[in-house]
Amino acid sequence: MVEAVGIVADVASFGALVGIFAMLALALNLQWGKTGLFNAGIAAFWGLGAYTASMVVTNPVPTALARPGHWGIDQAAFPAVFGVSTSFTVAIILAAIAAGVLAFFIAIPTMRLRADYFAIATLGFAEIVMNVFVKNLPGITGGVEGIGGVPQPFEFGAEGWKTNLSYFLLVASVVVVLFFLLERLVRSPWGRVLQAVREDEDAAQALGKDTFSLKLQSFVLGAGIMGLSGAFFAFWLRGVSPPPNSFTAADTFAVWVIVIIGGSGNNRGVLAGAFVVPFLEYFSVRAKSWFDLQEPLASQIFYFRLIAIGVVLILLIMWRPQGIFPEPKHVAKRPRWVIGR
Amino acid sequence: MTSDGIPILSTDGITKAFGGIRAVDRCSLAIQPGKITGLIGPNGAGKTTLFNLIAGLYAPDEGTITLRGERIDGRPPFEIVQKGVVKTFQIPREFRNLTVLENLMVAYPGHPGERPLSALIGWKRVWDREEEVRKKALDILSLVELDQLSDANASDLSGGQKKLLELARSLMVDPKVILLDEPLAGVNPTLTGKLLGIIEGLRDRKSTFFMIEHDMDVVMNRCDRVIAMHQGRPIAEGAPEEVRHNELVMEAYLGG
Ligand SMILES: Nc1ncnc2c1ncn2[C@@H]1O[C@H](COP(=O)(O)OP(=O)(O)OP(=O)(O)O)[C@@H](O)[C@H]1O
Ligand SMILES: [Mg+2]
Repeated sequence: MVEAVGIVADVASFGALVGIFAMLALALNLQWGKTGLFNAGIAAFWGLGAYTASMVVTNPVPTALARPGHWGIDQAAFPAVFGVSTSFTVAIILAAIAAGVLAFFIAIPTMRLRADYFAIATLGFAEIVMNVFVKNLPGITGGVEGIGGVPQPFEFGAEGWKTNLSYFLLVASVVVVLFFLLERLVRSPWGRVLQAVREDEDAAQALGKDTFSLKLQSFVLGAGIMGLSGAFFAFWLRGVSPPPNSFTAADTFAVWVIVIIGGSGNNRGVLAGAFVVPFLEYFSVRAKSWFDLQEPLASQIFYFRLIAIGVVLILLIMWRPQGIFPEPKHVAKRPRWVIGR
Repeated sequence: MTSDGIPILSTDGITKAFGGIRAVDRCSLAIQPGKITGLIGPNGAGKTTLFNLIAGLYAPDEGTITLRGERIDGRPPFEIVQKGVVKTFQIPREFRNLTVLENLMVAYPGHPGERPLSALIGWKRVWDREEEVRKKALDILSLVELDQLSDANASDLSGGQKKLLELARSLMVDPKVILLDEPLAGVNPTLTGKLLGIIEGLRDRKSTFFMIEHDMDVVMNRCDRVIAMHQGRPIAEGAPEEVRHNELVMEAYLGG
């Protein structure tokens, strides 16, 4: 019994992380898969969302000798609805908005750049935001210590498996809703014109499309979803800490791997791909105890996941560059239900 | 230079240099409404560059471009299209992974479904408009005899078919002025005749065409006026016969 409960808690926690990466991958699939925007700064939008959410669901902490403080909101200000503090809803919304606003200001000067320069610019911005600002604002962000004591929406105290399971269900439902909303969006004339921009921006302009504005819409919306994912990550981790612990280029890379493996331009594909990276991580952490490994393998199996990702990527790019699930033909499709007359 | 009536489109001393090459060099010319104006000139004369300047894909280094009395130089391409000027590419720029039909549908101007919020909500009127757009696209596709291929990926078309797609796509915009960059190159003779018929039909319904063309038969028999360009600026303008016998033009073509 204790065994079974432990497995439920473990799998639910893993499942929630899959969901959090699935949100990131869906967002990148809008930006890159549909619009061709090479966002190499995912970690910053994710991180900003996570920090914003953490500050909304924790009390402010003043800086003390031992520990840098951080901003927060007096939690008494948030009424509870059905026993769950409204601070979580506020946190999620503000996380998305904060990341969207950051994306807007990054996009204005960089969006007219060629794709490769845009990638470098977003990477640079991300590094600056996370390493220079977030890490060096003790009193606001908790500096190098980050923010601890972040609660989860549903707490069951000693029954940890219930906490994990309910959190997993919450994350999973958000992923499902996001999936349907994004499918509806990309399978509309808007998705079609984004794809035209991706395939030939000059031609789209010559046909009268305001490609700058279209790219901006896609980038900001995608970044907002990344911020949303960041909020769920902060709750999951029960805190945030700055690079090199979290929100690094390796996280950005992981999301790219998910999209490339799953199939760029295919939302179903990237949902499937979202299992791969967290699974390898989970596997490489647990393999030691599962297989009763001996040294030196026991301490090195953790790095196995990096090799595995590399091998999968190389094989895929050689044999199936479109990913496991290729992009569907026929972009816009009348949805089953429409509104109005 | 001769001109009759108020031009719909004119350029005044426009220049565009690429490094040391002045591809378009203090070029002034005017296009009459409701006519097919041919643009001829040897390779590298600056014809495509001139079109790119008018369409807003490049901003001129100097000079002005005027459409119906309004300055349009330096405006972004999408605004110029909204004002009724559209251009086709000499080398087709199809949206490769969209189908032939989608290539046309995406060119429809002002589709309400291209706004993310209306697309997300999924208003019925958005999807009803989508049906109209589909019908219009299919009509134009049958006009250029691509209707059998409406479901094919644009990247699978032959070179000539891509030229047709390029022309068909521009017609989706209902343009007032259409800049055609060698629309007939690589198109078979029967279809060439048919396309010229379509172009003349649209001209008779008050569309204005400015067409780069190397085939002298087409230029002589189908264009109302002709402008000859050499080294970045017009060297002759007038009725096809006049321009054909112009000495400067003959010299330019002989490499003088
Ligand atoms: N983007 C560019 N960068 C550098 N040089 C260019 C560019 N576009 C055109 N040119 C140069 O400008 C000159 C005019 O080119 P343009 O394409 O306008 O000629 P054209 O009259 O259309 O010729 P063709 O009949 O061969 O199509 C050429 O010398 C060309 O090499
Ligand atoms: Mg040319």
